[in-house]
Amino acid sequence: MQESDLHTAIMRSQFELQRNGIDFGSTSSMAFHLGNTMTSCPAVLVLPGSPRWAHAPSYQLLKPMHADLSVPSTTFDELWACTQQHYGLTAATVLTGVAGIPLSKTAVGTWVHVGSSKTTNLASLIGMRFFPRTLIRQPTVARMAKATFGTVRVFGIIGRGIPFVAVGLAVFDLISIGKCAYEARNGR
Amino acid sequence: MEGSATGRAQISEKVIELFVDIIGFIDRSQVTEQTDFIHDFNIIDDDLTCFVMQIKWQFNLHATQKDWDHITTIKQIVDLIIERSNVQFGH
Repeated sequence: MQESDLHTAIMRSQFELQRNGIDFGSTSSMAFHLGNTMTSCPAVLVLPGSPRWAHAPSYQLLKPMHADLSVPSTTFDELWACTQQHYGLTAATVLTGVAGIPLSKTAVGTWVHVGSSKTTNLASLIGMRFFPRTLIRQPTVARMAKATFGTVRVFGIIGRGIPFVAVGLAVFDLISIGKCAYEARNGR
Repeated sequence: MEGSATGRAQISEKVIELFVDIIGFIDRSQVTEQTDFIHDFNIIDDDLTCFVMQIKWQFNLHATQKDWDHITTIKQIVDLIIERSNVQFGH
């Protein structure tokens, strides 16, 4: 998977989200805030929020409760490889390469009800299997998530806002995946 | 007979608990066996799928897509679990 700098990744992600009617406002502002936050907390989830004053950011940053600050910066490839290893993903799923590529629900054995989408994606699948009860508990953020994405399940949101999936995955298993990436980088 | 009713009630409670836990924004008091989990609330497709998949995994339920096609209520899920699990309630 291609890596890009934070600002480029944000711009690309924002473009995709805007096409779906979600606008986080200034990309420079988000790059600044994310950059600052990620120096002390390597994984952050971005959720939409109402600006408190004119020109204020229209998003909120959600940080994990127990970040392991000793985890060094890693490349997306390293995190991805460790995520695959951690969850025991098969060669077939590895082939998809990107968490957002549509997967046939029937092919992966998930339920399809009348009128529902025929596809899901790897991020949603991981969420369904391993994090079904990982919900946004903070009432204000939960209300916004429900209003914007129709769900308060964190992986439901990640599934709908795929551009942030790498960050989302890192949030929820930061310690094991992060340390695995650290060990991979240091040849252990 | 009493055992059967208790067993069914336990399964029903577990299904409702899973539903409330996974969907996250619905209060337990709003859900009964008669709840139509597809139409009664405005639940996104991904959350519904997550709920049904957890039912399959938690109850080790071997059901086909065809079995699921007509299911819309919690009661129908409980019936399917009982039918497929071969659990004998009571003696």
